[in-house]
Amino acid sequence: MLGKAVPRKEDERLITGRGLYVEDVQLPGMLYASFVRSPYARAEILRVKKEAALAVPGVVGVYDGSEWPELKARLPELNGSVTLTSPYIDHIKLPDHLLFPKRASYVGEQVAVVIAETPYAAADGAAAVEVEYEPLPAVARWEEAMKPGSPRVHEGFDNVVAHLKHKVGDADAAFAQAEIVLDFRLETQSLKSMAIECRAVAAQFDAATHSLNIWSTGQFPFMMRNTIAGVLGLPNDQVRVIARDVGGGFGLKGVLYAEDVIIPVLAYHLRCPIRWAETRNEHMISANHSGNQAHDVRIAAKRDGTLLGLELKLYKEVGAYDHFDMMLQINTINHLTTHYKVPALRIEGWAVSTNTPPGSPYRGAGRVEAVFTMDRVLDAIARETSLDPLEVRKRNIVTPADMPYRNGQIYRDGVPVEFDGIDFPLLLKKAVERADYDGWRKRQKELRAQGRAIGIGIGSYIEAGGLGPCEGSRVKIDEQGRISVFVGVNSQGQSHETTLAQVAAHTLGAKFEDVSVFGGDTRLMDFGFGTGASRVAVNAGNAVMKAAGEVRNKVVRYAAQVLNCAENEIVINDSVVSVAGATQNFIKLGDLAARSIRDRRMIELGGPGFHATEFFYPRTVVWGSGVNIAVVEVDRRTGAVEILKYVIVHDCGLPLNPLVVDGQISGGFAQGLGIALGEHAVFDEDAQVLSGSLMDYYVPRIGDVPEIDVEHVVFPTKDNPLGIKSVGESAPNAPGAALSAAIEDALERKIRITRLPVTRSTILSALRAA
Amino acid sequence: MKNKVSITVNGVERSAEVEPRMLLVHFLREELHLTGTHVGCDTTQCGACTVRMNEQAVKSCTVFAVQADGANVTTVEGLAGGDGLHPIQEAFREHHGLQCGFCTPGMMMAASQLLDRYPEPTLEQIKHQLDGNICRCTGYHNIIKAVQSAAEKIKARKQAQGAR
Amino acid sequence: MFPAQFEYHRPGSIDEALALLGEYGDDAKLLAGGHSLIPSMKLRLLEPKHLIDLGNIASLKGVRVEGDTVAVGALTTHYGVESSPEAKGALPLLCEVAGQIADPQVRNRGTMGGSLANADPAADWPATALALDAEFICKSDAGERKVPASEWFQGLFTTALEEGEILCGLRFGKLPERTAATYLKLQHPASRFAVVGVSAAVTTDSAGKCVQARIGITGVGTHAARAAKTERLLEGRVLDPANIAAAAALADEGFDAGSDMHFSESDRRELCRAYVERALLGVLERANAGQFQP
Repeated sequence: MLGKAVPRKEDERLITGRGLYVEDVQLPGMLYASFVRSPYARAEILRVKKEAALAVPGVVGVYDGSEWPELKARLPELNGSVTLTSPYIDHIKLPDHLLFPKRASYVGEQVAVVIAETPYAAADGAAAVEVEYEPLPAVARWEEAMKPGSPRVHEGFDNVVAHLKHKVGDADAAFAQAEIVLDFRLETQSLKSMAIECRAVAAQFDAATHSLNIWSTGQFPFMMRNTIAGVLGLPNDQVRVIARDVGGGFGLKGVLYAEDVIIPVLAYHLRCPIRWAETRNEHMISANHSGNQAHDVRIAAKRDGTLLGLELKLYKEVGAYDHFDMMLQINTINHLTTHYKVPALRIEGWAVSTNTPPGSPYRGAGRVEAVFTMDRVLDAIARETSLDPLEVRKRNIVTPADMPYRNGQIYRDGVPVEFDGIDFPLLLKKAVERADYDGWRKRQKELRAQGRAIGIGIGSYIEAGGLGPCEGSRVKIDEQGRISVFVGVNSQGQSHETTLAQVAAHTLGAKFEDVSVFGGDTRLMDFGFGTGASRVAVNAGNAVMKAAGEVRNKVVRYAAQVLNCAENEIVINDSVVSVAGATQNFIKLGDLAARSIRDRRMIELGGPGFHATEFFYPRTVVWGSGVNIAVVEVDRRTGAVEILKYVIVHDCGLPLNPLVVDGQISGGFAQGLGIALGEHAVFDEDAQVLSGSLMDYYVPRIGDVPEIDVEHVVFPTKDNPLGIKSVGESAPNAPGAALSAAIEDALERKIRITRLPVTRSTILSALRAA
Repeated sequence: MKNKVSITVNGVERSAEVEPRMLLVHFLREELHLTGTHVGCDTTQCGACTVRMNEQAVKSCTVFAVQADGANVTTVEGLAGGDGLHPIQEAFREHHGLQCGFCTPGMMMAASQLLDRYPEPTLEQIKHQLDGNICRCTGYHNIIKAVQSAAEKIKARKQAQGAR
Repeated sequence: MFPAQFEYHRPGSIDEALALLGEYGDDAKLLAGGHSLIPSMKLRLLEPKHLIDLGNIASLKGVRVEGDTVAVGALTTHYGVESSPEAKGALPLLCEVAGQIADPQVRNRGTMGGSLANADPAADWPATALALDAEFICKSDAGERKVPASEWFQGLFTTALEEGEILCGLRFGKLPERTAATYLKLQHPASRFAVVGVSAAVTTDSAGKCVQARIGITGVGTHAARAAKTERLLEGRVLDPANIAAAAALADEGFDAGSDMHFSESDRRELCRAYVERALLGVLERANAGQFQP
């Protein structure tokens, strides 16, 4: 069962329209919310006039935070962050993030909320609320924000909210020895993760238990539960967060937003169920963005293409509120050297606030920036030395002889980064062969002679996944023989109900059909650390394996007594427990479970029935990796980029379900393609959103995504019992680098690509300048 | 002020008094509790709300319920037309054509029109006919496989019916 | 996502519609396919008090060949044109254009008349209406008025349609013998509107000389317009790649091209010239293959 491409269990309800997304929650007496949002990037909120809105038919109430003390709460710091330690950070000072701020600090920030009998009436009400603002100077760009004398995003706080330093080896010596020194700035754009389901929250007060039921689109239901319980002064168990069917997350939903607290607080006080579903327009304007990032890079290299050292100044826009300290910057740093040796590294980083929505990770979370930088660095060396970019890579690559290899970075869990059992040259070799790199180099020459612009680019990534601290699972067998697997994480489409069922079925010897996986409900488990950082398969997967293994132990011990045999004679297969070699002597798992319920022999096995809860604590992260090679043709007249060939060779350890792994690669690639060629959250100088709808924000469509040629290479890890790594955040990382290089190459390196996305306009204007 | 509308949804005539501004998608979701049809944007781009209206695939977020008065509407809940799954649903499941599942109902409804119009679609036709549906999870590769497979399944079903 | 309140009217005839329009004037908006209007209402960029739905007026729908003319009812959907055997037989360029508009769902609802009356600077139909010298049939209480395409587009979302008038249909006259045509569009990556859309209809004589060139361009300026200089340069010359290149180099002249977050003014001009050149090369290829509009 493990490693089999079985179709997904979750699909049956999703393809028949019977999923239950938050906006599908309909309860008797339900009310609906619509937010009044600041039209200014920075403004004092002088007065909220509610009268006209209250007169709108259907409007029940208008709230601006003055009504109940809970509405004066602040969002928790580091909310959503699974940062454990930040060894590089030497300064951090953040303002409080209030549910209803006195001063708006980005366009779209919530100022008041209207509750009404229908969503239409709520929107009418929100349109009728009059707010008096005193607009204040705002700062829209991180470059401006860093200048002395620029407007402060928050009064009393520096715009640089955090700072870090890190070094490896002796950078001074590297630059002293260097035969080549190059420096340039690389820039990567701010993005919206653009799940097709926007954010939503619904809440219902249950008078019988004096508790709140909350439906959320969030990726961190336990964090949400604990925060709301804390705000309302309720025990954690009197707040239940359900986040079952979620329509995509990709990081943007991995943080608690003001609305996530406001709606439950109102439902609690009004004693009415309330639902809020963000509109796409609100999403584009006010939901978190990933933040622009810039790297000032200085390279020390030798004429033979050997990289001696790198200096990196890293600027990250974190928006008006920074909920992730320097997590994204640290991710960039820890993934920076990818497959290559960088003997000396000197890094300084700044987290810079602007009057834009708060920053959030987007799938990849700093890794796209790392890959773009490392591969652009290698390509710059190739250009300077006239070596083939492939040759430069070969000369700097970490080889199996170097394993275990430490690149000098320290991961967010405090453990030094170490690669072991990974054959980077093999990944590169396979990608080169699969892409027919040498063949394309020849064809490139021939086609150039015909005036066609063909280019080849390489991008290599590493992906740390499976970040701790841990995840747990409870596994039980009921009297019908049905197996329930409970986990503390929820899915936004990652196929947990299938892959975790495969793990449980495999471990228990049960039929896959007998297993059901339940997650995304804080009632099911006591702890859960959330879905993000490509951590579920490793953490929850191994927890399921441990819990199912413990259940199996109980089954074996009890069955040996029931079937009168030695424990090591017990065989469990297809949900049937039998004695090895004695085909007549068997009992079904369910019958055994039923029998155990009233059997005093279970005293020694931990009580009636077969169940167990186990946690898996990873030692540290596991490292997946891969190589992308792109072959493109560029149309010089129109700036069009056609992808002629795209190869992905990757390792994610043993696949739990190849169908699911392929799906993650395909989907991740499409997002990487968007990052490479067009996606961009854009603000003007006044920090007004220009990419305010799907009319402006590019998301790849079906016709935009080329075929990809994927090869799976398996370097299993010994770091966890399943031997798995992570895959979720692997595929988006390298297309930006590979396609940039290919486009530059196609244009015979007449242009330099230093920023993402590479749009038609980028190409046309670069060609005009060249 | 409300208007009376009568719309046949998944074969059943449903009447209600609605504000003229009520969008068809809200009529289906909030009045009829058919929540399989989703809302993913407000500018008629994403296609998550696609339903068939008088056979034509439409974005139900860009049709007022009053405009659909007297029309015949099929939503994902009625796609199979009875028990069991429609070949498109089967194919999406078999080929992992969905991840989060949010765009899927609209995608399948658009695919159903595509296969009505082009029973043996080329790759180009599939891409052209599904241009109005955005999926953020799958990268579309498996959606293409699912549509191709669905076309085969429908053809096989028709042949089996013809043989009977 | 939630439009403001309005009153809904569904007239059964053009006269009824005109009466309603007369009664409510500026407070009313005509609803055709609604695929520009409804999104604007959902974002509350527009809040008309009255909506006059033309969807029930059968006489406004359909493609008919009347002698030498192709008449398209204003309420004919893009798909209605795309799939019309009459259009395919008489003026296949119309089907070619219709099939490139937005996406299938939008084509099922959006209408030719709605698009032309809205006059979005990046809409597809305006380029073709210009290239084919369409006649716009408008009706009001005062009767029928015919406006040539060359006078229709007057500015950003501004047309020759007058207050109290309804655009009821388009008439496309017969093209001269040996006219080849094409529509070439660069689709906006996000909106699917035209960044540049070129509709070109070129008549050549048997020696390959360009007798008449009509080139409509959308997406580049504040409203669709003809590439007058390109047309003039081509007429009287042999339609060959060299002349096409020379003529296309003038294609963006006279256009008030703007910048947005995706394309700068220079990009737009450059793309305009490139697309005109390629559209004309496409026309040449068709002419050489004898593929003329009937």
